[in-house]
Amino acid sequence: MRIGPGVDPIELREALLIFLPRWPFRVSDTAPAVIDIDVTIESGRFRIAAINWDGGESWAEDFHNAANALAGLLIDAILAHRMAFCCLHAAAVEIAGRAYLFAGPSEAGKSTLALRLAARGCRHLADDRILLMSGDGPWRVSGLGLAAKARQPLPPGPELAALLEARWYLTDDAIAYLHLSDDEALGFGVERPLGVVILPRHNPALTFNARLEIATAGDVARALIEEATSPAGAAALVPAMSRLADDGEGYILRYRDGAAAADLILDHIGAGCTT
Amino acid sequence: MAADDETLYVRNPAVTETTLDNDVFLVEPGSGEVFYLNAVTSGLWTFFATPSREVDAAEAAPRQDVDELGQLVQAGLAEDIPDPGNARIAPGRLVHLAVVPLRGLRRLGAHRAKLVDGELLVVEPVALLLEQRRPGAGEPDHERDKQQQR
Repeated sequence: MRIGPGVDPIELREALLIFLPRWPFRVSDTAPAVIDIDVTIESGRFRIAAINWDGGESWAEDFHNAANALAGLLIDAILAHRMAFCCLHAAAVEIAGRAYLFAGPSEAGKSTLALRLAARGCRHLADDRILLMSGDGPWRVSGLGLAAKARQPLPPGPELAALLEARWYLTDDAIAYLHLSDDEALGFGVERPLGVVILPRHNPALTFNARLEIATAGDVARALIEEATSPAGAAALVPAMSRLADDGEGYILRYRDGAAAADLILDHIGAGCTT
Repeated sequence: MAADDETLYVRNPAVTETTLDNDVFLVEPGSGEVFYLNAVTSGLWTFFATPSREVDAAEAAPRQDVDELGQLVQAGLAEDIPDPGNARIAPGRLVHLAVVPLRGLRRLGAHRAKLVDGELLVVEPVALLLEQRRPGAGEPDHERDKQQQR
């Protein structure tokens, strides 16, 4: 990306690292071969704009909001360069060398479940945005090094509380951003073969703590299609996600207790976490 | 859809279809929007593989589809249905019921439309079905052939 006059690149990098703590940002005086994004100040506001591709533009009043907008555009730029088939709104952890995806709408419990499993020794793979890549063999999953997040109020549970309180970096009324260590989270761009897709369905009114049901391929395909974007377009995305759902292993996780849900995942479909 | 009982409808050949077990996904070519069809609407989609009238679709719907159609539209049109479980609903009313679920496809994907379970959207049916006009009594056969090829 290109930083315009009036924008402090060091301060912008520090703000970006809050949201993308595992990205290898480097400040340089030499223009890169390809410039995807411009960051400038116009009329006292930050303008973050895509260059020569259909990424749009955003405006922000301060460094933190500019960094947040820029983080999203950087991810879109990676996708636009076709480094991955699609980007999925999901969370993931590594269990026994495979990626366990949590797919579903906002506030389904994806991020919290991934953190609960991280608190139990699984390595955190990704939160919020995940790249799916196809090729020979199984689909591969890659995290984008986004900061893990937990919604406020923080979920209960002593093991999770210890993880959150020691690692949160920035918080507002809605979300706490966490910075996990290299031992606790996989690095930027690290890939794992796709193992299992889990569709969390949190419902405080349930009469049981947690239950796993085998998901139909249609259930999994619908969840993936609803949360995926791809530069290949919907006409290619839909059959690809259908194939992935048909070939893979999927579960619906109904739960009212997140700790019980995490235990159930490890006991019944996980071989246990390895580091 | 037009109220003309003689209007023929057929599936838009540009719409891409992906079938996974009993689930059908359609991609509308113009906007790239993705639609998910449940068991009833996928049956209607299959029915309109050949040019057909609305009333033909209604008459072809089996009893259980009538019940399900009634349930599907109950959320929005309950006042119009004297008894959704009555398989002997008049064809005209069943046509109306048959059309609404096809319009009310759950919209998924591309723009991440988030729907509440059971919510129905009204979408432009012409994007999924092409409207064809039956020829009038005075039109020659070759005109009908050209129209059916659209």
